[in-house]
Parts: sequence; structure tokens; C-alpha cells
Amino acid sequence: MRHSFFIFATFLLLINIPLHSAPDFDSDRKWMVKTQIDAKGITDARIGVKNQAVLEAMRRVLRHEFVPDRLKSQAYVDMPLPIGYDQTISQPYIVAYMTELLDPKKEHKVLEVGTGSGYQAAVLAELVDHVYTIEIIKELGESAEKRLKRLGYENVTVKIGDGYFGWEEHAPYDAIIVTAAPDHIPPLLLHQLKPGGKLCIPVGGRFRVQTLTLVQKTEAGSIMTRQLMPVRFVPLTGEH
Amino acid sequence: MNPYFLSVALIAGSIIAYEITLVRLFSIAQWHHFAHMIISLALLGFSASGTAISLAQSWLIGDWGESDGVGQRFHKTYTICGLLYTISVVGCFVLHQYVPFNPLMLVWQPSQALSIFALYLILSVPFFFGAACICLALLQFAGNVNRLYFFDLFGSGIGALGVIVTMYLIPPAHCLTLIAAIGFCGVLVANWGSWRTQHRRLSASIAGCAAVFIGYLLFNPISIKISPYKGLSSTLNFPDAQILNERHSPLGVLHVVHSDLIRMVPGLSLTTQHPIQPQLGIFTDADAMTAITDFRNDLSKLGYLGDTTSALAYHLVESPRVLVLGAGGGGDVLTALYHGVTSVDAVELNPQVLELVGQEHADFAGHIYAPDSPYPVKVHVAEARGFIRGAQQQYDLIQIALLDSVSASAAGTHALSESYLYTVESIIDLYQHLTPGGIISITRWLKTPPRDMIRLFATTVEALEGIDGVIPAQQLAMIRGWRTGTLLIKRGDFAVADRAKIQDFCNRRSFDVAYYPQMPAAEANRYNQLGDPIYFRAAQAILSDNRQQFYDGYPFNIRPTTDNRPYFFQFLRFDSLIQMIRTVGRSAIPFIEWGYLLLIATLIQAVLAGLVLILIPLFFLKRGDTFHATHNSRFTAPFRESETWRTFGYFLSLGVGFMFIEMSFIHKFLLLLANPTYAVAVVLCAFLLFAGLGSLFSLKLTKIGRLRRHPTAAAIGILSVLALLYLQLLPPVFHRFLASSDLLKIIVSIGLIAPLAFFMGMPFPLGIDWLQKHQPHLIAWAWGINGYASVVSAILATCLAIAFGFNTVILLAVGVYLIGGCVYFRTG
Repeated sequence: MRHSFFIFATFLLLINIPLHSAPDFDSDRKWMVKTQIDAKGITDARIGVKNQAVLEAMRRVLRHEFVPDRLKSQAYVDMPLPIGYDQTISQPYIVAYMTELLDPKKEHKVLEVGTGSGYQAAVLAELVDHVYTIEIIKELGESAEKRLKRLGYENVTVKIGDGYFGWEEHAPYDAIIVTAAPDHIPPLLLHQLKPGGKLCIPVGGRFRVQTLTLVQKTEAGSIMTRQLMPVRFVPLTGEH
Repeated sequence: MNPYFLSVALIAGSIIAYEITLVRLFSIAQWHHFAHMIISLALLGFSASGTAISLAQSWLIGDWGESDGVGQRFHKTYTICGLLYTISVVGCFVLHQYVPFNPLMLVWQPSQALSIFALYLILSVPFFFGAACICLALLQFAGNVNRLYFFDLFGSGIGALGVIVTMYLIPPAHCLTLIAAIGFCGVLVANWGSWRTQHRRLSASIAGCAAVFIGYLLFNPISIKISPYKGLSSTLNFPDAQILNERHSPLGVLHVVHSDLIRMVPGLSLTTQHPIQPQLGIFTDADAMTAITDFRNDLSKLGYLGDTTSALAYHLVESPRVLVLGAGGGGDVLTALYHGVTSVDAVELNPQVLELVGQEHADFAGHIYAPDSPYPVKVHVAEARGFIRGAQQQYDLIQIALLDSVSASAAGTHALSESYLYTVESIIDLYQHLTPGGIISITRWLKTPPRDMIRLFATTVEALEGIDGVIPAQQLAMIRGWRTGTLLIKRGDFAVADRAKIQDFCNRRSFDVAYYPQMPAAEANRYNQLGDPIYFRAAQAILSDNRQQFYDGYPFNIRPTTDNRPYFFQFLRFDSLIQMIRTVGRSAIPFIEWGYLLLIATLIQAVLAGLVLILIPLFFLKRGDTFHATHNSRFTAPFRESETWRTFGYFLSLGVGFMFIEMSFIHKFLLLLANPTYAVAVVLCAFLLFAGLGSLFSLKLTKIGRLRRHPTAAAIGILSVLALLYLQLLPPVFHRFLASSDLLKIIVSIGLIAPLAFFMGMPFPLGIDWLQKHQPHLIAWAWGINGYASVVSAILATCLAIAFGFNTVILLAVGVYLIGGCVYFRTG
């Protein structure tokens, strides 16, 4: 009886040990876009991404290059991952959804506040003319800059500094993306946004984005916001 | 005096101090709701000790002692358990910090559950060995249980009070060293009797090792690893960040941090043109930041404070006398000063926050809290609700600040925290302290989907409906920005001119109007657009006859909160949760409020674990596999199944009844004592001390006339009557003494608790006394059941209070006690 228990326990342990074969990141990435992001493929209540250019960018950017080595195997899983210095790389779906909200165009100039690993900047760089990105934590900014260079993203410029004041030198921007939710939106960022431009901020903490705030500057210069949930809550609240 | 009794008092005091310290340490390192879950489960170590000892009691304590009436085996086991307890108090805390646990990843990585399980196991070790000491003593001195239990409860009472006082003097991590030292003292006291006899070397070795161990900890204090995802950790990643000051008290550990990147202005308009002044951040428990603003007596630089939703009220009252509840770092006080007020009464619960702003950083803060302040600001250390009940004067404007941090609000971590500020009764109190035409202004973070502001609106409407001559629809206004909303309650109607001012204020700052009297629907949802003008719709529905249907149909619980059910932050509805998970699936995860769900998860785990812990010994006791049947002359009584189940029922009832009443009273007395620290310290200490006295007196009950035959029934009968009486008595007594001095309130609290606790302390020793005479092998098991019931009922009491209110919990406690009485009566 005792022996059979140990055999059973050992078996349980063994089936939990993954068999290490070379990971197929290309397939993982396609699977990620198809099942987690693409409006045609997702099965749960999240609002799928329809912009084909954004979907293609998500297929192209090597997300596993932007996560720590020990987490590479989870790079294409539907979850945020820690990247050190209390920062995270957002869930792939949130990155894609935010990018779509900005409605990026080939001629656009985009400012990102909070470079982190550089993944969001890389996705944007696939879609727009130039990405300016600011990171306050020196170590993160420098490693993101090196990574982006190594991966061939020549149209991304990284600056170490305080994103609160934006980057006046290259303003105005067609779109601004702020990757961490402050309790207020820095006024200078809105000044550096072109009329008709969009600014996007996730709200709800690093591991649990609940809503996205999309700030739009009208051609007349007035400011409006929209609270957008990445999930359809129609049956519950009548919101969409 | 029997040295073991003193030893039990020291160890019991040390255990409760350890529990309280652990909650504090976890709240600093992680978050309070996880602290609650992990420590509740770790407390099952109490129950496990009863289980383990009941299985091996004869071997552990040996036969009746050869010398001094104390068995040598018992002495050794007690000493070893005591030593393992003291070592594990520190060792297990250090060890648990190496467990890779990130609660925020729990929803994404189910493997985090393994880490939680490891934490339960590690942290339960000290409770196991500490409780084992008391259980062993209970077995050994069952004939003197009334005295032993008195020392147990007395020690616990002093320990609870002592650790709360100590937290003012030394940082919480250092408390662990002190707790270990007290534990060592307990072991040494137990060995005192043998000092002059055969164990001189052993006792000397213990004392020597203890001195070295404690000495080492004094010079190498334990450090707390704070989660990297808490606000303090994030801020310290900024290149220029540095900690300027640190303070500690039972109310929290405060860190003042300097960084040029700290900028906190909740609810700031998107259209503001004013630059923000530099700030220092004050973090409480490494999160929940309040800011000290670089003011330096130049009001002209504070223009941005006029561009927040909470500034609206200053446009509606001229030069008001203002009361700011939750003054914190001074943001709302500066907003008041910027708008040219007559005077400001600033109320803050934590005196150390006032000290930091008013003394340590007085120059930076512009001396707004300083005794020699050039501004008309008067500072009060008080809890908001208590202050308003005691306030003698009326105000033109009462500002209730954002008392919780945005992150805690978003995560639903306050779901288990009661708030007596956002209740129907509180709104009535506030309203009665307004001058005619005065305004209450309450600002809250906005949640998605909306619920905070809607519940606040509902609570206010129902409060105003309870005041004669008030028409809520005419006296309310609500506005919102993109992150905050502000509700205004006026003592009087909002006139046409007021409405025009509200519209103008909002239009200039791109804020939305959600409600004002006769507001056209077209004005809602213009600047900060939601898919549906839900705030406007909700206000209309709550003010209409369809209110109940609206509450029923809303996916979150937005019904008004009352003093009986003061859980303003608990919005979860289980039917909606199930529907949400069905329709939204995994994507629902970010929307779930974790506080209440973790409470339910804790309860389920505790019930399952407890069943295992209680049923295991029963299985062996039935089979007669334990040592008691064959090896020990003290356990000769035959196993009787019916008495076993009665023992189970009786001790389970006592544990549940005691904790239900104790928990409910802690929450209820919070309203009178107006300070969470006082409430916990006074109520806990009074309950334990007077229950201890009741225990001491309990066996005398068996010698008093008619009570002789049914002493337990008498004790339970009296305590039930008292508990029911208090349901009626407490509200008017609290009302009478709310405005009294702290000292008088403490005396009144103790006076109220004393008789009830006195009788609550009797049933346990009476039950053990009966067991000792008839079924002594069940004593350890009974101890385990009682410990288990205490843990589960503490969790259950919160669940029930959220669902049905504290009065129901007290009624249930009485019911449970009466069931226990019936079980005992049948047994006796």
C-alpha cells in the first residue's frame, strides 16, 4: 500500500515536469494573435481587435525578446509578466487594444510615457513613422534601448527622464500612450498632443487593467475623454 | 503559585501579540486582505495542536507525576514545545519571506496557490507549538482549569494591550524579538521549579541560548521585504527618491518620501493651466499615499487645487467655516485656504501624520498644521465620525476627502473594512452639523463599472428622507471628472443661481454634471463619456418610486449602508458574479473585488482544514489506537460516542459564540471609541481579562445553592440575556457618550463589556472540568475544537455581518450559546 502511494506520487510529479523541447515562438505568436486578440478568433467577451495592421504588428514583434529569460516560455500566454523594478509587460491583448485605440497611421509621430521593456514601443514602431519613448528608471530604459536597437527598430528613440513633462522637442504628437495610470493626466502631455490627436491611459493597476481612458483633443482644441472597457459588459450594465 | 500558570500566561500573551504583529507586518509587506486570509489559516495551528496532542497525549505528558505532582514527561514536552514556539516566532517569519509569493499574480498563475499553502504551513508553526503548551498544561492541570484558563485569558488580554502600546515605541518587526523574549521567559518560568533540582544545567542552557538569541536579534533586527508592487516600492525606484522620515504606530508605518516625481492631485481637470507645486509623499503601510504640498505661504501658486471636482463647493458658499474630515497631508486644507475661507477645522486620525506635516516638515508645508500657523487652521486628532458626533459647532462646509488610495479602491481591498462615515446615520449626523445653506461635499474615486458614487447617492437620499422637511431631489448635486466624482448635499434647496454656478464650474473644467435639481438629460455625459449616462440614470432612479427595482437590477450591491452593516466598499453580488464569469469568462478577473472573495475562500479553506483536523483524532479515538487506552492511568474512562459528539457540539458552540460576540463588539465599539486602535485594544483586552475573571469564579458557581446543578446553564442564560439587552442598550448609551472624553468612553466601554465577558469566561472551564471527571481523553480534542471554532467563526462573523449586519451576528451568537447550553445540560 505504501509503495503504491509513492509510485502514484512520483507519477504525479513527473507528469508536471515539462519535457523541454525547443520552443516554437513563431507558432506561439500566431496562436496568441488568433486566440487572444483577433476579433475573429477570440471566444470570450473581450472586444477583439479588428485593425489588420495592428494584428500584423502583433504577429511580427518578438514578444519573447522583451521578457526576462526565465519567463520566455510564458511570453505568449494571455497574462502580464513582471520585468523587474516593479514594472510589468502588459498582457498582449491590452497592448493590441490600446494600439488600435490610437488609430496609428504610417505618417504618425507617437510619444510613449513609460518604456518598460520596450514592447509597446516596438509594436507602435511597426505601424508609425517614429516613436519617442521616455523611461524614468535608467536601467530599464537603457536595456530597452539596446534591445530595440538589436531587434532593428531604428524608428524608436528612447530617453531616460521624467515623462510628466512629455518631450517638448519633438511635439506635437499624433498620439500619446501612457503606460501607468496616474491620478491625473499631466497637463503638458495634452499640450503636446496635436488637435485631433488621441491619448490613451490604462486604469486599474499593473496586473489588472480594468478600463482604458481615451482622451481626444478636438480640432478646436477642447478635451474629451471616453472610458472604454476592454470587455463587453452589455448583459450586465448596458455599457459598451 | 504554580509556575506553569505564569508560564501559560506569558506564552498566551506572546501568542496573541504575535498574531497582532503578524497582521501588521503582512499589511505592510503585502496587503491587508491577504494578511487576513493567510493569518486566519495559519491560526489553525491552534486546532492542529489539539489534534496532535489528542493522538499522543499519554506519550506526551506521561503518567501522573512522580515529583511535585508534575510528570517529568510533561515537563520535557512543555519545555520543548515552548522553545520551538519561541524560535519559530522569529524563524518562521524570516523563512516565509523566502517564499516566492506575488498575490497580484494569483489570478494569472494558479501555481501561486502553492506559495500560499507554503505560507500557511510555515506561519502556523508558532501557533501550533504555542497552543500546544497551553493544551499540555490544560491536560496536566485539568483539575485546576478555572485558574489555568484565567491565566491563559489574563495573559492574552495583557498581551493584546501590550503589543498595541509597544507598537508606538518600536517598529513592528522589532516586536517579534520582544515576543520571542516573552516566550523564552515563559519557558524559563516553567523551569523555575526545577532550577534548584535536577534540571539546573538544562535551565541554565535555555537561559544562555535565549540571551544569545535575543541579543543577536537586538543587534540584527528582522527586516520586512515589502512587495515591489506597493506604492512605496514603486516610488523608491525613482532616481531621486529618498526616505526622509519613518514613523510607526498601530495605525500604520509612515514613510515620508522626497522625489521630484511625486505629484498627487486627485480629480484634477484635464483643462487646468496651473503648474503643480512640488510635493512630499507620506505612505501608510508602504501604500496609500497622501501628499504634503510645498506651500511656503504663497496661495497664488495653488491655482490647480481650484480645478478639482472637490473645489465645486467653494463656488457655492461664501467665506465658509470649513470642516475637513481626513485632512492627511493637507491637500484639502490648502484647497480651503486657496478659496479664502473663514476658518478650517482639520480632522486627522493619525497624530503622526499631523506631527510630520505640522512639525517635521512645517517649513515645506507652510506651517498649516503648526501651532503658530498664520492661517485660521485648527487641527484635531480624531476619527471622523466620532468627531462629528462630538462637535458642538456647525459648519458652512464639510469636506470629506478621499480617504483611501486609488489602487486600494480599484482592487476592492477595502471590501472587508467597515466605514462608519458613509452610512445613513452618518449622513444625518453630518447634515445636522451644517448651518442653514451649508454644504457637505464628499469626493470618491470613480470605479468602472460605476458603483461607489451610486451607493453614496443612494445612502444620502435615504438619509435625507429620514429628516423632517427635507426634499432630497432639491438638495443634491453630483459631478464627475475622469477619475473622481463629488456629491454635494445642501441644507436647503439648490437655487437657480446655484445650478448656474455648477454648470459654469463644470463647463470650464470639462467635468460632467451627473445630477442637480431639474437637470435636463442632455447635459449628462458630455465630457467624460461613458457608454451610457449611468450616473444620471442612477440618480433619477434612486429618487423615483422605482428605487428598489433599480437596486435589484443593478449588477453590484449599491444599497445604502447603515451603522449595522457599515460595509460601504463591499459591492459584490454573488448572482452577478456568477453571471459575470459566465458571460465574460477569464476577462472578468480584473473586475472582481478581491476582498470579499478572499474572505469566502478563507472560510471554505478553514472549514475543510478544520474538518480534517477534528475528524482525524475522532477516528483514532474511536478505534482506541491512541495511547490513552493502554498506557496511562489518568485516561481510563471508556470511550462513549454520544459524549464525544456532545463534547464536539459544546466546545464548537462556545468557540463560535465567544468569537461572534467579541468580533461584533469590536466593530460596534469602534463607533463609540472612534479610533480603531482603541477599539481593538480596549474591547479585546476587556473581554479577555473579564472572561478570565469569570473563569476563575466559574467553579464557585458549582457550590452556589440552586446553581450547583446547572452552573453552565446559569452562565449561558445570564450572558444571553445580557447580549440581547445590549442590542437595545448600546445605541442610546453610545449616543449619550459619543461627545465625552476618551477616558470616559474607555471606562464606559469596559463597564459595558465586563459583565458580559465575565459570564462568557465560565462555560469553557466548566466544560473542561466535566470532561476531566468523565472523559479526560477528550480534553485535548476539545481544546482543538474550541481553537478551530474561534478561527472559523472570526471569518464567518465578518461574512455574516456583511450580509446581515452585526445585530444578526449577536443574535446568532446567543442562539449558538443556547445550543451549547442544551448540549451540556443533556450531558450533565
